[in-house]
Parts: sequence; structure tokens; C-alpha cells
Amino acid sequence: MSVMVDTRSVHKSVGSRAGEVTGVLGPSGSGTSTPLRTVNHPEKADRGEISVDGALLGYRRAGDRLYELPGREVLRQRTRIGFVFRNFGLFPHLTVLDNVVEAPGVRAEAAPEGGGGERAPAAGTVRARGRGRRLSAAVVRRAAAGGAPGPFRHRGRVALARPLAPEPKPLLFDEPTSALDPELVGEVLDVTRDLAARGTTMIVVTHEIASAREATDTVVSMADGRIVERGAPDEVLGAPREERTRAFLAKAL
Amino acid sequence: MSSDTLADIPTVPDTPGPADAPRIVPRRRYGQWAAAVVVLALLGLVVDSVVRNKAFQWDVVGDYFTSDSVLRGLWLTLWLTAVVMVLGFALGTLLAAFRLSANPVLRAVSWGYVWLFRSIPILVQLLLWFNIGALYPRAFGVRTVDLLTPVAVAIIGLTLHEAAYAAEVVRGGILSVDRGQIEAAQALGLSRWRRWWRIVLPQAMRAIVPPAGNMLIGTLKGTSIVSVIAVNDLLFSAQLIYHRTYQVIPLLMVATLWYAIVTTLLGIAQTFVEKYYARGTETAR
Repeated sequence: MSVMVDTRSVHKSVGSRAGEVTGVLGPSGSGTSTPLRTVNHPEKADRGEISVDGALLGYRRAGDRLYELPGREVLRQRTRIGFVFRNFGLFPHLTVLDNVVEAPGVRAEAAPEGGGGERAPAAGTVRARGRGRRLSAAVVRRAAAGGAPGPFRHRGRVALARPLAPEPKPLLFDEPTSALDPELVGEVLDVTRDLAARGTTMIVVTHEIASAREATDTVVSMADGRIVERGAPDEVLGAPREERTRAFLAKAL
Repeated sequence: MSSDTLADIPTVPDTPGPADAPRIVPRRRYGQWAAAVVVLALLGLVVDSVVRNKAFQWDVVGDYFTSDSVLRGLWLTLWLTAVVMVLGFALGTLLAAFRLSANPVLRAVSWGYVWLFRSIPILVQLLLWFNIGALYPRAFGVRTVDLLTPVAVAIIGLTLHEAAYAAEVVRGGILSVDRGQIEAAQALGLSRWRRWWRIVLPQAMRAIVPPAGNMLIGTLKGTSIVSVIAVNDLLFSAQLIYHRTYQVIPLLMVATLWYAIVTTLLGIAQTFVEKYYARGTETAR
């Protein structure tokens, strides 16, 4: 279940050990999102290799060369990695349900009759197993109503439910809380804590110092496209060794 | 509807103000009234001159409005428009895909096509295709003149012309879709085909439909140009009659009224199509 994200010799190498939550901090424009975008994105690493659970991403190794994989293989690898976008990246023309079940392999299932604690909607619900549970009640209600993602506060929940639906192994968060109100931020943190407790590997790019300190196992500090410091949150955020980290923290707090 | 939806959030009810609150009196705008009267009077003069001018021969217009040859011409105009739109947009979408592809050769070909066919006036193009037999007397073992009937020339010429403009409309529509949408679709592992049909195109349609509707109406009327190569469209049918009867104005009125009627219907249809593709956006609410 636990997975390791390994970004060996990539310029900005933000690896994450299995079951670990890594926070990436840094001023805007310092390239904090780039490590995430190279893991599950069209953005290709200039050099180095990225692997999830030992499996090389996007390439096949033969001798001392890496050959690009065909698009279909890459897509299959992508479905195993969850990505939460900064601006949600929801599809505005699709309903909530369609947004969540769009990923290959995800199906909407009819809810069991009179389904227990969470009031089950009649129309059919998103398969909300395990990790998605906390969010599912609200999302499922929106989904059952058949509407578009609609009001902003709902979109945050849908944006979290969507990548969770295919049950990806590692999860990548690109500033998940930057567009949310405080109430939803708490909800997102609850979910990440929940996921972390289940041993989900996560890399979280964030500007929220407080939540980074609380919710991560390792913190990576970036400046000018480079990693300047890496360590336990208490060390990096509490007693930073590097001047760049100190400067960022001083401004952010 | 379950609880916890927006409808259940309590809002402040509208309460009537106190009864003795002063009434608000809007300022009177006499200038607006004067302007309206003048414009209406001028309009009335124009309508009066049209209705009472005997030379319009409205009774002749009535006689020919639903005559067989006019309706046959109308039918040709309608299906020619439909065929040209469908083929033009199919080719245009392909050209737009070429233009946006990573392949520099395809990009250049698409650019070159649009440049060429936007540069040649449609009338010149029709005449060129009509006389293509002078350049290539035989094709596929048959005489080119037999292969390219006037209707075939009309379809080819109008389609190639239409495609150049359609390519730009489709390209603009695709570029209007937020790049993050494609990234989100890729991150979810959607195939290229599904990304295109399910995510990009439906959202691009919102920006494509208004100019495409404009083009449809333009094409409907633009087909009247094929009367120069003796294709029996609405205008040419009217012309055939007035060449015989010399009732030029009434028959041009017949054609005008039909063009106006179809244009109006298309405009109404466009409104509904636009509403459909505006789903999930601000304008839809």
C-alpha cells in the first residue's frame, strides 16, 4: 500500500519516502510546483529519472538509455497518481458526478437502500471507499443533485474527491488550500491527516506554514528554483539553517 | 432535495419599508420622447413608400412566393448551405488541429492553406474551378467538364473557401479553453481522444458557436454567388423568372423575403445552441 516517490538526480529532487508527507515551501515563482508537475504532468524533467514505487515514470530503461513510453502507457501510470490542482481544474461543463467518475476505471454505483449514517441519495453515488469517506457525503449530495460544480465552496470538495476516486497511490497537492476559505482549509487538512494515517505518500506544495509544520514529516524549502534546505518540519521551520528559508518564513509569518 | 443544499441556507427576507417613506419620482426625459417621435415618423415614411409604391407589385410577389421553381431554388440553397457548412467545418477542424499540432510541417501546411484560400475572392475561385478543364482536360479517365458539374463546382469552391475561415474559428475556440483543463484531463489519465471530445471541444464550442452562426448565415446568403455559374439556387430561380417576365423587382423581393425568413430562423436556433454550450459558465446562470 505504501509507495515511494523517488526523483533521483532530477534538478529539483523532491522525493518522498513511502507513507511520508513531504511539504514543499517557498516564495511564489521559486519553482515549488515544478517538482510536482514533472511527476504527473506534461512537463518533462530535463534530466534525471522519476519513479513511483520503483517503477520508472514515462520511460523504459534499456542499457544506459531511457526510451519514452507510448502515450497509452504514460496515461496508465498517470491514473495511479492523484493530483490536486491549485485552481481545482474542475470541468465546468460536466456535472459533479461526471467530474468525479471521469477518470478511467471509476464508476458510479447505486447507493444501498437507506444507506446508514450518510444519507444515501437516490440517483446513484460516487464510489466513496476508504480514503474519500470524509468528503464523500457533501460531494455525493451535490453529485446526486446532478448539477454543475456550482458554488465555490463545493468545488473545493469536488476537487479533492475527483483525484481520490480512482484510489491513486501517491497524492500530489499543488497549493490545495490557496483558494479555499478557512472552514474548507480545515476540511482539507483533516483529509490529508486521514490519508497520512493510512500510510498514503503525499507531496504537498503549500504556503501555509502552520499546516506544513503540523501535517508533514519532511519539509523542503525552495528558492530561485533550487532546493535550499530539507529536513524535519521542526528543524526547517523552527530553526532554519539557511538564510533563504529564514527570509521566506519571516515574510510569510 | 436533501438538506445541506444552498436552498436551506437562511437568508434575510425582504421586508417592506416604512409606509411613510418618501416616494421616488424619476426625472422626465423629454429629449427621449422627441427623438422617438422623429425616428418613428421617418420610419413610417419609408414603410409607406414601400407599401404604396405600385412598382413593388406585391401581388406578383405573392404569386411567385411559393411557386415550384422558387421553392426548388430555395431547397437547393438550403442543402447547398448545409453541405458546405458540414464539409467546410470538417475540413476546418482538421486544419485547426494541424495548426495546433507539434508537427511544424502540418502547422505550415495549415497556415499556407488559410493564407491561400482567404486571399482568393470566392467569385474568382468559382470561376477558376468552373474553368479548371482548361488546365486539366482529363481526370480519372473522364473529361473534367463532365466530372465537374456546376453544382459540384459550387460545392468544391464554397467548401474550400469556408474551410479557411472555419479553421480560424475552430482554432480560436480551442485556444479559448483554459490550458489547465487539458492538464487536469491528462493528470486524470484521459486518453487524447477523450480529452479532445469530452473536455476541450465542448468548452471550445462556447467560443465557436457565435462566429459559426455568423458564418452559417453568411454562407446561406453567400451561396447566391453560384448563380454566376448557372446553379439553380434561390436567386438564380428568381432571375430565370424575371428574365422571362421582366418583373425584376417583385422577384428580387421574393428572394429577399426567403433569405430573411431563413436567416431569422437560423438566428433563433443559434440562441438555443449558445445557451446549451454555456453550461457551467457564468452566462448560464
